[in-house]
Amino acid sequence: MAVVVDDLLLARIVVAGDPVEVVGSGVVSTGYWWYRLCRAVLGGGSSGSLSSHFSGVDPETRRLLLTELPLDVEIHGMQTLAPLAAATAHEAAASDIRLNTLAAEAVAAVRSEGTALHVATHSPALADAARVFGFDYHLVR
Amino acid sequence: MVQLSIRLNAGLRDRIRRAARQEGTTVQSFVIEALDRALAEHSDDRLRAARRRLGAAIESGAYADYIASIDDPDLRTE
Repeated sequence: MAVVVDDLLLARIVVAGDPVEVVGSGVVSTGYWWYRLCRAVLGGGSSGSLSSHFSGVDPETRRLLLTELPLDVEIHGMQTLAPLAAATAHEAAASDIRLNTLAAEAVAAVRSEGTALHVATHSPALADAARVFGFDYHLVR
Repeated sequence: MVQLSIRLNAGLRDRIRRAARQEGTTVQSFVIEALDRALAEHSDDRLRAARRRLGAAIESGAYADYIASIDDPDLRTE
């Protein structure tokens, strides 16, 4: 079963070329995490340190890097997840957990897939949401 | 189809003719296929280099720093 991954794990998968090498299965990620990764690679809003890693890589190659996702990677975005994301944010608020749009979309993806969440960047809000909504939260180092 | 004219030394031209003959094809087809392959390899090389750079950004912590620097309330990790 595919698991939901954050953008840092997605970036590792882009480098490895195979999600199984990184998390042991196919993966789903979200539109917001995918957008963060695209912004990092294409340069918009990225930090100076990150930009320096991509200096000398032409824009066409950067786009190619992003369009050649491995076959076992799916991106699920707000077009399909928005109703569940909105309901999730509302339900979380009832438990005093504030989910921003990125987190609400991520939890909606997990609930929609009935799977686990694997992240490489710890998120206290997502860890709290995992307890409330009853899904597995794995911090991958 | 368009025509591309380039100047070659005679030795290379002869080797191309021989190779095309060995392949049982015309010089034109042989050259077109060779150019296609060269372009694909060039693209693959650039892609591999870009992957290595993304890998280096992850390993060095630059990607984590980028995530930590996001101040958009809808996009940041909370």
